Amino acid sequence: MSYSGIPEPDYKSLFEQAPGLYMILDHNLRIVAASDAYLRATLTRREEIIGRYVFDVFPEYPDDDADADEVVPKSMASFKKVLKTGLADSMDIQRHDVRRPESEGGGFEVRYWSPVNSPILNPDGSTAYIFHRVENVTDYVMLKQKGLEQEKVTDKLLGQAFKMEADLYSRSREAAEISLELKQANQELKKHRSHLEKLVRERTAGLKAVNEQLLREIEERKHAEEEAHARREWLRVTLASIGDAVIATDSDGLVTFITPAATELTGRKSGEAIGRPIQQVFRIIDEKTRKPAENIIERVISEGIVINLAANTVLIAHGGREIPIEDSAAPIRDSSGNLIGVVLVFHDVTEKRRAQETLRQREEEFRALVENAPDVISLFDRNLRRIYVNSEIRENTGQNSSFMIGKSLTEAGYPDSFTKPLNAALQSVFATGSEETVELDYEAPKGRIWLQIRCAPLRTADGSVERVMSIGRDITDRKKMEEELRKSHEELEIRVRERTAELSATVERLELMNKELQDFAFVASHDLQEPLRKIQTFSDMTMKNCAHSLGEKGKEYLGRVVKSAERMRQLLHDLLQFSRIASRPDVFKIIDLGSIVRVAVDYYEPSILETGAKIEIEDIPAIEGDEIQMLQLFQNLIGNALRYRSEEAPLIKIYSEYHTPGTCEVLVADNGIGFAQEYSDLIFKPFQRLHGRGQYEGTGMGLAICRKIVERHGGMIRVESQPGKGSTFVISLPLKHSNVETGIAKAGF
Amino acid sequence: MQKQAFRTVLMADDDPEDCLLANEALVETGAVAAFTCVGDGIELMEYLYEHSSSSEKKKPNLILLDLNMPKKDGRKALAEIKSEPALQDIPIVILTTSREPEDLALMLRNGAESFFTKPASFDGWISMMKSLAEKWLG
Repeated sequence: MSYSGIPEPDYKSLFEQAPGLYMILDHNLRIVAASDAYLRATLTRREEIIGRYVFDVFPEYPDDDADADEVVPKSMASFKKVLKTGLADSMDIQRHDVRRPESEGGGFEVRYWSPVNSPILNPDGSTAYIFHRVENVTDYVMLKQKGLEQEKVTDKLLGQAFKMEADLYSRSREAAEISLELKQANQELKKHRSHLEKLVRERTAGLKAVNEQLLREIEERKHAEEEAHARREWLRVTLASIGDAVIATDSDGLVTFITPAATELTGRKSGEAIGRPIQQVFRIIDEKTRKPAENIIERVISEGIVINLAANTVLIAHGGREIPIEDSAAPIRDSSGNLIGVVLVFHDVTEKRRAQETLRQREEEFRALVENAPDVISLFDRNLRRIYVNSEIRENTGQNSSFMIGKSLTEAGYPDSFTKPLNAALQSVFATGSEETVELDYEAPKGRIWLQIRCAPLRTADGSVERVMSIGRDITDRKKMEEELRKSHEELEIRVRERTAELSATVERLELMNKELQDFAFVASHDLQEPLRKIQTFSDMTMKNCAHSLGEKGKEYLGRVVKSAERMRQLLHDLLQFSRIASRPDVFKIIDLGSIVRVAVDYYEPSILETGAKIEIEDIPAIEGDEIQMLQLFQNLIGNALRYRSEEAPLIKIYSEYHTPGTCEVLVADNGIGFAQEYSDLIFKPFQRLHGRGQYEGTGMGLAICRKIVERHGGMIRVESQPGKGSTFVISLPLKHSNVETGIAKAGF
Repeated sequence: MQKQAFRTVLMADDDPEDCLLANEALVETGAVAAFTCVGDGIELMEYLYEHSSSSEKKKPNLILLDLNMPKKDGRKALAEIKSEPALQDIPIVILTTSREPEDLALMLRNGAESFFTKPASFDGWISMMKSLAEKWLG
């Protein structure tokens, strides 16, 4: 079904200007449309009647001769019949007087109508509209009535004629003639009437047929319209979606169609392009010669084949812009194969050209890179023949690169020490597709060289390895350096070993000496005690048993002997203790320093009572350590604090602080005499005293022992003091020792 | 003073002064006891074997044992005496200059009755011997 070429008629104006009297009612009998003729005939205006109930506009009057019980007016009956049956209904001639406009005096004008009501059906068969078509038969009816009246007048005249026969005899003939004429006229009228009636019937049938035809055509056209629209839309969207520009021409080369992409490239709006010769819209030249390119449209038309444009075609857009394009043209044929046009498809290749140019530049750059690389870069085929090598090869071999091409490594004259490892690596890369790196050395013309050669696969589009690239780097210098480094490293190691051995020997010797010294100190102090004890005892016995024979002087001297012996005993005792600290086996376990401090304080109870000392002990943690030595440590410190007291009653504070994780600091602070800070190191040395023996007792070993105990526990002891302000000893001790087994330590508690 | 039963104290010590002091101190206590001194472990064992096998001679009532002696030291002598059925009932008191707790604990475990550190004064000797005499020679 095609309406191509026929412009779509304006159905509305067609309907309105149709010569017939038509009115369309909806199923509620409201007027939805009326032809101009109908309006003229009914003396109405469209805007006055559209949308109104038909009987409001055209009131229906029962006929003079209507049956008395006829309730429903005839038009109404007919409309209802159509609505109900869906079939057309012809009505008798109806009188519908029409309202005369006020401008013409108002009132009603008599009209007679011959109506036919036809249904316009919905798809479901129900009646959507009533097509009300009437013929104005007023004139005819009038004439008919007039004829009847005329007969009456004639009869009257005849009566008068008979009555006035005598008088009017002279006029009788005339009357008779008139009568005859009238009779003839009457007959004429009757004939005329039946003719008119026939005409009306024919006209009615004709209109009905036209109406049906129109309805069918409307339906078909609607359908065709939808189909054509869908197809056009599909084509439009499809063509617009193609990135390519498309122009179609007819067989004369005039543009009939152009896509938005094409209008953009050609610079011609669709409206400008349609109907123009293609050469005006699509101006192309050869990029190099700048001459117009061949007219491919003509060739397509003349040869009827698909033609691709030569490369280097430039489209001159409207406005002079030049766009490199690629295009092709193909003939359009109708169903019988006749060429009816040409379709031209083209696209902008500016980007493509640019990409190609970039690619070419990149390729040149890479080539330059490869050619100038400090490495020897080669390509090998599957037969391990060198198919490319950069010019760096001359550096290594003294040969021109061209000499190497197409040859295997052996053919190119390399020794086995070179070809074997490299060929193996190349084969492996061809087989596995994974990179390989070999290091080799060989005798080259310029001397022995080391090479590191990396072999990498070059894959084709399908992923297979057809070429392997090798990148050889001269690592001779590096190798030589490595060798030198290795040698000096070895030498160094030997020296380090020697030195280590020397040092260990020294350490062993020192340890032995230290041990000997300790043993000596122990033995000496122990053994020296024995004779000393005798000196003391016999001096004592002499003093007791022989006092009478000594005399005063003798007693005084003997007293000094006793005192010195006692002092020596004390010294030996402390020295013995000092030497024992390190020789004691490690018996570290978890100990509660707080309770040890309390035991140490108890030791001095008499002295504390005597001096009125106050001792404050705060929370002190448990640590891992040697219980006996810790007790000794705090006994010494508390003893010092009591011994070196000032005039005031001693106040000794023992508390702990934490500054470093895993370590505690125990502080022993007193308000004693203190000392100058400059002695804070000296006092920890053996036999060092800050006071004369006359002032304070002591061997000078107490703090040396303290330091040795703390150091044996991996800790540190220091002192902060000011003369007259007291001293604070700070002992930092690790909380744990790695060589303490927790299980055993816990069992100790 | 009532005559007491005859008692014997045997001291094993290589230090003659200590033996002298011990003897003098014992006399000072007024205890009626014989005091004999041997200079080393060998002599000690010879004396003990001789006096335990003879009916005329008598085992000592108390042995004062020094640990550090030549030839055979006190540790060995103690072990030997305590493993000899004829001798093991003799009370042994260790006299030492050593303060090694391990040493002393070992001695006590090995059967020594007690231990004393050698006193540094004669008064100390007297009071020590006094308490020993009261316990073992009474």
